[in-house]
Amino acid sequence: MSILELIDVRKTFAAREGAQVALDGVSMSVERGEFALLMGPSGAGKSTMLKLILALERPDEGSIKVADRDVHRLTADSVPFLRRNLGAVFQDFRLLSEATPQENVGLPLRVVGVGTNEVRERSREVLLRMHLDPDLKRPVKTLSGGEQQRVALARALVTDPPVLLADEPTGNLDPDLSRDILDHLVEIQSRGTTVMLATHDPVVPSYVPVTRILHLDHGLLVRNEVTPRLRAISDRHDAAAAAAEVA
Amino acid sequence: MTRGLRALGYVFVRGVTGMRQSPLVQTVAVLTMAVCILLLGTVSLLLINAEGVVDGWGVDVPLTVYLNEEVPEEDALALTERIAALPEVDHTELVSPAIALERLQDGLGTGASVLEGVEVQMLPTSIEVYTQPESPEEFSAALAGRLREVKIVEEVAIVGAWASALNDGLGALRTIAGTLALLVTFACVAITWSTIRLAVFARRSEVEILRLVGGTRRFVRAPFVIEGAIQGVLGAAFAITLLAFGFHSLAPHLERGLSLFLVAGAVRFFTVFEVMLAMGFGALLGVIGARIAVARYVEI
Repeated sequence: MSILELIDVRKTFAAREGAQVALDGVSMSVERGEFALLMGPSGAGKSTMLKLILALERPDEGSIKVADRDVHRLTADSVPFLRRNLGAVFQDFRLLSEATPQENVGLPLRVVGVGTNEVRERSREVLLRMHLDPDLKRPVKTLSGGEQQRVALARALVTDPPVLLADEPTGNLDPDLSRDILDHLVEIQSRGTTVMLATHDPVVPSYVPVTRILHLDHGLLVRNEVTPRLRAISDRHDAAAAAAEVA
Repeated sequence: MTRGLRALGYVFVRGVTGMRQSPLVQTVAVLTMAVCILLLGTVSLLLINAEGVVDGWGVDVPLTVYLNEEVPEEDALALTERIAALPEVDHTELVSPAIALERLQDGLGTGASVLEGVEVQMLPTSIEVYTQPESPEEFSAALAGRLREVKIVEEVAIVGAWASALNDGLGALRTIAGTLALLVTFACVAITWSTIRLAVFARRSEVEILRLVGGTRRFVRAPFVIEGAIQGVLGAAFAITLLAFGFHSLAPHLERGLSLFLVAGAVRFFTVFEVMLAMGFGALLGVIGARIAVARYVEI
């Protein structure tokens, strides 16, 4: 069962030299629980695809479905509720630089009006999972790049979203820290979260046990390769669904 | 506590925190709003007091009928009721010598000591006649003529041209206050709009993050609107404080001057309700300015 689906999506941006095509008729789907890798050189359309899924941009044509709901048919008031089900991390971390790690991680919970004690507890839990000190009182801007990215990951996961979108999360990190972040992403996917990782780093597929490799080039989806790991995940989900049905 | 209230609390804290991030801009905005509101407050206070002075002089009473000495009360009441029954008359008020003395003492303010030894009986009983607003101008003169024929009437005083000039002046002051209110509204809204626009640009990344984590339109925009409201309230509070300081410094001198015209007690500062109204007005202007800015610059 697909959790993310793009059908014939086209997106252009206005530029001085005419319309710049970011995505050109892209169709693809990602199953629940997958670790999908979105690859391609800079400017291939990876970030645009993630922004479209997050409803931060609107497609010119085509439709984008998250859990069978067409993202761009949602009303403006419903879009925030979609985003609460999509964790997102970016190359530039996108953290409140003056706030502490716990304040940053608690933000998605504050948005939905969770009480202070519960926010503290859940933030602590997920920060510990990311091997960060939950009681750190320093602003996040004083942390290292790797620590900041782990704070961003913790924030993305604190609401336990079914999908995590990661846009070049290792782009600003040295190789050791990059591996650390990738290890965390693998661990997150192993708990059942669907992960979609956009990267231009060719080393990543050999390091991460991905289920699908999507390759974009100049806005075109030139490769949609399923790895043997996908069957194992599908079998796992089928078994879980069957067990639920029997129960 | 519901989730909505908790989110509101958080939004309020973010609004206040946001203000602390740009203290200079906020201070300039609050002071500029204060100057605008101070201007409006000064004119409003002038208007309120001018109306008080005019009331004190009794120019809003078109006709005053002074009765003879020792007129029986029932006769005075009967005449009052007969006048009140006329269709052109709105209402009448019988003013006893005791009330007249009390008014005179109020009018003299601190100079009321000059009335020591004045007996109540020395003042005449009078009837104040308030005509209908739509009654013809010549009615007062005609009624005065008829009343002068009545046996118990000593004298009838009609508001003259000077009083209508005073009322015209008051009207002009009302127009100035109204125009100023419009200008101040526009200026305060523009100031808040401009400050909040700057705040949105300065905190663009925060807005982006709140959008990403699923903040609703209201949740993302509310801290800026709260910021605008606080600016308005602070601006109004500062203006009223300055105005109160100025008023209380000048009031004794004004009282002394006005006591010469028997209207010393007419000078007053804003009531608590009016002060609250001014603060509310400031908050409303801040909210309007901020809402316009966020509607334009904060996308969801």
